Amino acid sequence: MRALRTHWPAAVFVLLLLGWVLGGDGRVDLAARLQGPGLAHPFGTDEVGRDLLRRWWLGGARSLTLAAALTALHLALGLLLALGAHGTAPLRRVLLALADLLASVPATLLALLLLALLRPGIGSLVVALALGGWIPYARLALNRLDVLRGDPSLLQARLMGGGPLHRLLHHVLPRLAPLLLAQATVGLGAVILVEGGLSFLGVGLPPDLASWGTMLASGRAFLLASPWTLLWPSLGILMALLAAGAWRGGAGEPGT
Amino acid sequence: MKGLLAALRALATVAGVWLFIQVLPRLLPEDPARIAAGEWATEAEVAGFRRLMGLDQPLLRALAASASDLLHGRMGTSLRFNRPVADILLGGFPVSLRLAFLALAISMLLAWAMALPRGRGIRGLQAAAIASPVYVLGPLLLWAVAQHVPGLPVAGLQGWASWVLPSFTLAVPLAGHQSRVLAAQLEEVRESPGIRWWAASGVPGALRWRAWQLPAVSGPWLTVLGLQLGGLLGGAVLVETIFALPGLGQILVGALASRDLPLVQGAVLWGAGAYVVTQAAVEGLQALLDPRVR
Repeated sequence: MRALRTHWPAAVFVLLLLGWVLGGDGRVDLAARLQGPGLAHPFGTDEVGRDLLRRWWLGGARSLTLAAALTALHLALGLLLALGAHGTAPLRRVLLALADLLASVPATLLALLLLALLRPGIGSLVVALALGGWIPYARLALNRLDVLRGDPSLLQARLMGGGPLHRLLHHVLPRLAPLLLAQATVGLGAVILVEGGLSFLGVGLPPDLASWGTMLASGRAFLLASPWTLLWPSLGILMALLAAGAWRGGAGEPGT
Repeated sequence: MKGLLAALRALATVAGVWLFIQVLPRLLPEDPARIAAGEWATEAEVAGFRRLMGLDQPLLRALAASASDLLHGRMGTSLRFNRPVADILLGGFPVSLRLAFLALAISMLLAWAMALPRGRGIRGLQAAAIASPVYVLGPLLLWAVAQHVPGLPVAGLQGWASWVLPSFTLAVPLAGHQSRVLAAQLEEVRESPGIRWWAASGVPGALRWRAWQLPAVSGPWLTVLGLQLGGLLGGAVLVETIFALPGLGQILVGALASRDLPLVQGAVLWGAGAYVVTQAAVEGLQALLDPRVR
């Protein structure tokens, strides 16, 4: 029960991810374009008559999958960089200086700079968002590793003959995990936000792939004809961000 | 002394960003000139783009050229407009500056309105404000408000009314973040032993507020405000696009679409510079206001 109260946002995300089951975008039906909600199409239809519920669900699954994958990538990158650098002082200083430098460019500007240089596509989007995304994780991990350095239990593990890998897996990672995962719930919301914005500008996901961002971008042109094209992806993004925010609140408490 | 050090550090950070922006195009696996020239470009055309982007020169010479350009107050020449990048950016800055200050002013009012009352409902409102991206709020406001209110332009600059919706849109998420910080800080101050002691000794509420609570709360609030202002001075990319305001954000998006590398580089450098300088200024201001920071 307690787990449900803290982790209900995860249930929301899993439900949205089921959208992948739908497989495709649905049939184009120009006769039934820009319809309001009805029996045949519960959410209405888009500008070429595709079912909006289907596109919304699939688009949500795509947006969330991308955001989750990017968050995992950021976390792994930050953790690896921190683990690699914390032992040697000069390396550590370089890493922190690089983090400070990249953090002084606002995240959207940094992503736009890379997108101006790369070929459009999902790969470029991932690179553009990964460039600055690892920073908070690396900073947190470095901080925590410093605290752990003098920890008696780590020394004991070493004296009892535990190798570096054993110590990493059984003593260091379990104690880094809660902090980094709490940061990941913050990061998930941030990635959903930025990815949606880039797709809205037309420089994120290609417009033919349904996602909440691309649906917003194409729906904007039909605002007056049919507000539904805009309303559903808007609600989806609001819902996802609220859920990510609530998860953060729950996961941030110690001992949960 | 400390202020000089902070200024030097800010300058070093901006220089680092400049170096990063200049080196980045050469680090990528694929030649940006080839991508900009398009799929059917001949080798000669690609070479032409490479020359225009300054990528045909050795790195050190390109860096020296860019540095001397910057010291002379120039930032290169736009490929698309064939005009100095600095002139184009200066043309967009007043719009972005005005939008930034209007949005910040509105967000401050909204933030206090959301921070002072206590309870679950207001916490939900804060969360909703934070979770309202401008690209969701803006189009929804256009649909819900602009088409019903005569005299409220939906796009472009036509008098003061054009600023209402963009600055409000921009202000809501900013206010959400501010109010969360304010509310947490207010809670902490209300419970602090010092304030409770003053209250128990019969010091009137208004005086307690002015003399102790307000200064204690305003420090973290100023930090957030500074970060937000710094982010806005580089141009509000999304809001300017939604409402078709000719500011720095629009310039950047246009430059991106036409792969105008010098203009993109200039806009990003400007944005990062504004961000860093604002942050340093806010730190300095805080040292003046709060003796604990000094």
